[in-house]
Amino acid sequence: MARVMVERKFDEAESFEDLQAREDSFVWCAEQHQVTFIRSYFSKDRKRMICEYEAPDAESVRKLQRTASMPFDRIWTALVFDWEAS
Amino acid sequence: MSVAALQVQVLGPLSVQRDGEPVRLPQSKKTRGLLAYLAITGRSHRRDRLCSLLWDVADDPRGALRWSLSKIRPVVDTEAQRRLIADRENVELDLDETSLDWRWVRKALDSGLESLSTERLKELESIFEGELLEGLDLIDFDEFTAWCAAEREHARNMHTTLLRALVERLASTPDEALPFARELVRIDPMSEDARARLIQLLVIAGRRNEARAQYESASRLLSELGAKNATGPLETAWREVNQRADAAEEEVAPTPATAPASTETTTQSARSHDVFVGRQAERSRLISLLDKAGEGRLTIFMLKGESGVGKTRLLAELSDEAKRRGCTVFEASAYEAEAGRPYGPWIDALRRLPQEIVSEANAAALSPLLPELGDATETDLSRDRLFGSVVDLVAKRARPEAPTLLLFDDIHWCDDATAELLHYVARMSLAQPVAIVFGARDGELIDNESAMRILRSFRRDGLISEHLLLPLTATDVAELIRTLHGKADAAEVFNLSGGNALMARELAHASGAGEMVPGSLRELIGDRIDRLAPESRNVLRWGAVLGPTFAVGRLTELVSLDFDALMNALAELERRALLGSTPNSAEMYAFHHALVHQVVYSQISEPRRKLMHLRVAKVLHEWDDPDGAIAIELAHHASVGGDASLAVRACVAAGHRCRRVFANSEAFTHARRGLRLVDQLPNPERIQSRIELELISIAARWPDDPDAESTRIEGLAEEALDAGCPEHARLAFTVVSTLRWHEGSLRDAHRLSLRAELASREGDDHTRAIGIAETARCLVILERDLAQAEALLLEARALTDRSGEAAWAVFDGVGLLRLHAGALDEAKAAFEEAWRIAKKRGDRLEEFMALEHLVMVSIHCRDPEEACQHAKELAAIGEKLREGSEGPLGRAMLALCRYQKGEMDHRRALEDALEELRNADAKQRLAFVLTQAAAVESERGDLESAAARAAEAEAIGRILQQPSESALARAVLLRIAREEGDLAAIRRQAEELREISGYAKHVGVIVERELAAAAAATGQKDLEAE
Repeated sequence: MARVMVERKFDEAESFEDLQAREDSFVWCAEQHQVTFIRSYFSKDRKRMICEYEAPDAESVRKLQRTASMPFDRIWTALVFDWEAS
Repeated sequence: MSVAALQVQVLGPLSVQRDGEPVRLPQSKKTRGLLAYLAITGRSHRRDRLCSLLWDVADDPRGALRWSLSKIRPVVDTEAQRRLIADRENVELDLDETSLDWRWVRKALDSGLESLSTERLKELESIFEGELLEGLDLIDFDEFTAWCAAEREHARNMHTTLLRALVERLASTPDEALPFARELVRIDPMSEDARARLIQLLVIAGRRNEARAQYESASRLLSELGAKNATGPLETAWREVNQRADAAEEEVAPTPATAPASTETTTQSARSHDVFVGRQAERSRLISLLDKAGEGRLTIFMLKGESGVGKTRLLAELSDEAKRRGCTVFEASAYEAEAGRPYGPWIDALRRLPQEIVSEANAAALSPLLPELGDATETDLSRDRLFGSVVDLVAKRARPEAPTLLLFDDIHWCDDATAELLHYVARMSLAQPVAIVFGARDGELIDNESAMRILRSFRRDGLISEHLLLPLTATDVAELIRTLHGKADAAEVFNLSGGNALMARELAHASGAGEMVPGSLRELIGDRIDRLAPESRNVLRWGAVLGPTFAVGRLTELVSLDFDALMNALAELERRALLGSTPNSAEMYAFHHALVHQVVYSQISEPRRKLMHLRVAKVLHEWDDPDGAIAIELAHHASVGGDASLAVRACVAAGHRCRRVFANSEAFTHARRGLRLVDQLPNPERIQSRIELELISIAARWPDDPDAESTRIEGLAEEALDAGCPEHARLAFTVVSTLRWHEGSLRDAHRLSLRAELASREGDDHTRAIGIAETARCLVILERDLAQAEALLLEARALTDRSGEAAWAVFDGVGLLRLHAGALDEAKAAFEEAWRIAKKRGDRLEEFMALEHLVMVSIHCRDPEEACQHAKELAAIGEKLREGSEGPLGRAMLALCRYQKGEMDHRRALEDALEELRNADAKQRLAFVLTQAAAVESERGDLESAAARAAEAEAIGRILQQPSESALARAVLLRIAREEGDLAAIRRQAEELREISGYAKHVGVIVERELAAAAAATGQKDLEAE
């Protein structure tokens, strides 16, 4: 399984709860694509966001984001370097 | 009337006389029903029509019809005259006008009442011996029942017309008018006018006490049925009567409503203490079954005989002996009224076992039958586990010194599920010390397909022995009388009863009590009922409506008696040997014999019966029913009571309940019953109920023509959308797709999580349609649950048709589904439509995906020119899509198509595009291109490159769990191994390939080809596809 990062940018400050609710209505779809949400990072002004998922590939996350009409700028697969483990 | 040689009487119980002598009728109820139907309708019928009337669920309906006709022929035909006219297509019973009482009365009344003298009216009235076809009820055959109800209504109207005319004409002579007035009240008990007239006549005749009793009885009945009217004719008549001075002397007349007879015999309700005479040889034979089973082998035995001949009493002897020996006895009876209650006898038998025995069983597996054992989890709910747990319980208790005894009486009434389980237990107990003993009415077995099926199986395997129990001898009857009373004339009782044990016993009682000796059991029981106190008679009737057995608790909710009065009434009914409490339960009562129940029930007029059933239904409806056990009863009472809404809802619940316990035949029956009633309901209830019932029906029994059914159900889905019932529309679409795909389980049709998710998404119809279609696309792309995907697409299509705005997702989804099914032309057409819609909307991403799929279709169709053309457009759009894998895919597809055409200079472009796809991490798209490139290279002999690409594609297929990608890649690897002549690799690849399933049809063609080639190359035929 891969770690996939989703970069988002908003013109107006976004509420995490609104985004979460929108994504929650596609839980079944996410399960089918084997996409699991890990965590999100929000900028202080709430106009930038990075979401981390575990999925078979980046395309699975792209499909889910498009189906759920979730806005995104870039989606890419990450190689994770864990400082403590290395 | 001139007496015809053959007389068929239907105005009362069906009977036939020839030259004044009664003719014995076939015992089969369906055969008698057929005879009655042919006689009354008096015209030719197609055989198919008759089959659908009485044998619509039979294995061989035409064979069953032929058998019945062969039983009717000796009844109606003579050497001189053939009345039953039958050819290959049609059947007709040709009776003279004077041969059928029904026709003769109708003809006389057609001339007008005014033209008929009073004597003539009396003569006509005397022909009515009861309700039309009294006692001939086939409740599982709705069409026959509906026809019969209509004819009974007609006959009842004629009878009441005659009676009213007679009452009016004889009003000046009340004693002459009274019998007719009483009869009028009996058959039309809800008519307040009839009641009022009777009361008036009674008062005029000086019978004020009887008038009062009539008023009180009527008042109570109308209250119980919620029909009491304070200003109605009954109350008015009673007030007028009370205002008159009692000038005439009151005459205390003996009436049916007075105190019971002075001499009463004590009945012994416990079966084992009932009198037992004669039958010693039969008793010994039954008991020897226990010895035979004790040798360690299954023993099956059937005791047959006519109703009342003494089977049950004899089986009770066996049960008692078995218990004395320490055997575990599973014993129960089937009941005609409970044919829709799956596993009824098994449930009763298990509940009668001592608690410590049941506690040895697998409670979870048995809980579908016995909910009191606790809730079952999803894994516990399986037919195999249920059946297995019963087999284990039977085997656990079976020992050579004390074999297990399974004693099932009246199996001619057993339901399909009970028969199935019996057969299973028997097959699994062949080498066990187990004895299975049945009791059955021989002539009625033929009407029960389920029972006949298992008996044929036992007979075929030589597992069953049978014995026909003959009537008592004159000596036995004399012994019976001596034991009971010693007063009755033994020869007379033997002559009247013909040795029938029940009849002999009842006649002996009657004689001993100084009662008049009647000519039939029906009259005998009828007389006994007439002698009851009014409250007892009322309780008896309510009991009959409830069923052959009933709980006292139910009675208390129905009768308007306080507890003490009810107990007194029950005590009287026990003393009169009409009812008895059941073994092991003081809460339950049972009619002394099924015939007694039948007589009491048939004596209740149909309108009154209908209202009583309705009242029972309403009471049951108020009760909690978490596992649907009451629904089965409720469905019966509500449908007989004529409350369509209640009946339909109960049929749905009963159908689900039967499905939960794997009783598919019963589930089907309940669904059919509901479907016949559903058109009486208004929308939206009508369409909702119809869809739910269709789902149960199809889940219980796969239709003969699934395609025709799917079209019909799709129409229902559209209706549901029109009626604003999207949930039910979705359910219907699920049924449609299951029918079309011949797969999927309708048990999962509700798929709560998906449905809940779809329902939670907001938006208008078009928005929701897109959401549904996207969900379907998701399923198809992932190659999962394709039947559900089809259902969702049907629904989405219907929604977009309504909104008038076509949706890209619908057409693209349909295209993907058709592609998976191998319907390449249809897939292409759908993708082209999707492309058109996307272009019109200006949605580049959707346009790209439609083109991507068109390229795939062209590649699968081996049309490189068309593939290249689409790929060019794909690449052009891909350049415009900034983020994602579209750009790399467009370039990869174009390079691939050119590579496939032989333009080798595009290999570098292909490698670069593949690397971009890897970086974009779009595995499915990467796998597709890799596999296609590998296929081309393997054909061209570039095996090393092909193997590397195919291996990478195969690994991706495994990660994504997509069978088509995995299978295609494996097929290429198999070909490579074959080209290299590596036998071990061929075998390994072929075996791995055979493990994969669920891939698309066009992939299947390639798989089969490669496996066949591998088998040919190695000479190992087992490598071929299964």
